[in-house]
Amino acid sequence: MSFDIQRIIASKKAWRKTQAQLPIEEKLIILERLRDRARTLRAATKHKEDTVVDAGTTKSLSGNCRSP
Amino acid sequence: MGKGIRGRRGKAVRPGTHSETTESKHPAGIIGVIDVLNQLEADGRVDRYAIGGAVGATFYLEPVATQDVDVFVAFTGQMTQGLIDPRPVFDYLTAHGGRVEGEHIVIAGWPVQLLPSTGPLVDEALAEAVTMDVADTSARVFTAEHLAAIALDTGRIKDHLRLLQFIDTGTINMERFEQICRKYGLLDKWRVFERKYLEVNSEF
Repeated sequence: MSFDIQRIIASKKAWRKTQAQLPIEEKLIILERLRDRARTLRAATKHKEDTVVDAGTTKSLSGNCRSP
Repeated sequence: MGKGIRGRRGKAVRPGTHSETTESKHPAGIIGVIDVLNQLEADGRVDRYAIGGAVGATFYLEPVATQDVDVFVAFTGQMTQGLIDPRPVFDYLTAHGGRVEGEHIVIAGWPVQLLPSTGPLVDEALAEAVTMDVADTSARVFTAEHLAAIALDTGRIKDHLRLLQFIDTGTINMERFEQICRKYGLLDKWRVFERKYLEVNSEF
């Protein structure tokens, strides 16, 4: 195990490249899994389904977040 | 326009070949969405469709989490008092098992956002979208350069991240991308983006 940040960055980049080169069928399956995981996390943290945060203003359409 | 889409098992999608009112004829998931879109176009309810957004980007990049499928459609011929009338399309999709939820229509378990063209950039993206094989069907997807230009134009943080991914992975043809930026008045945004993200940080 190494804490060499350059090696870690290179490793992550290589992993992203591997993911990008997967057949599209596999990537679409990953998309489905990512969405399921996000739903589970959202349910666990009790965030409202319709919360949309504008990153530029930190305002929330559903009122879950407030401007600083 | 509207040619070249292949249905399941390699057969051309023919008009009216999916007239039943059940969703079960299609596989679940995004492949099922693609099936319905191909049939929607084959039945002439839209002139042309193309997948954009995160799902479109996934055809070129690593998959990233998304909650919906952005589908851009050319609605030509469905104007009501000068406005686009999407009702025939929604009626068709609901008759084929879709379910309207807010601004989405849920197809094969995925919320699908149908988006009309917002201007000449998206018009060109739709016209030049490419057909890609997926499982035993095919899907029309924006080119990587158009996805990148639209991301630059939209300009949210997640769009900038996507544009950085396109650049970092060498997925886009930079000459073509800059040509699109020049054509649609995005060069200023591109220069700002370059200064902000590309001149100092060679990695992200």
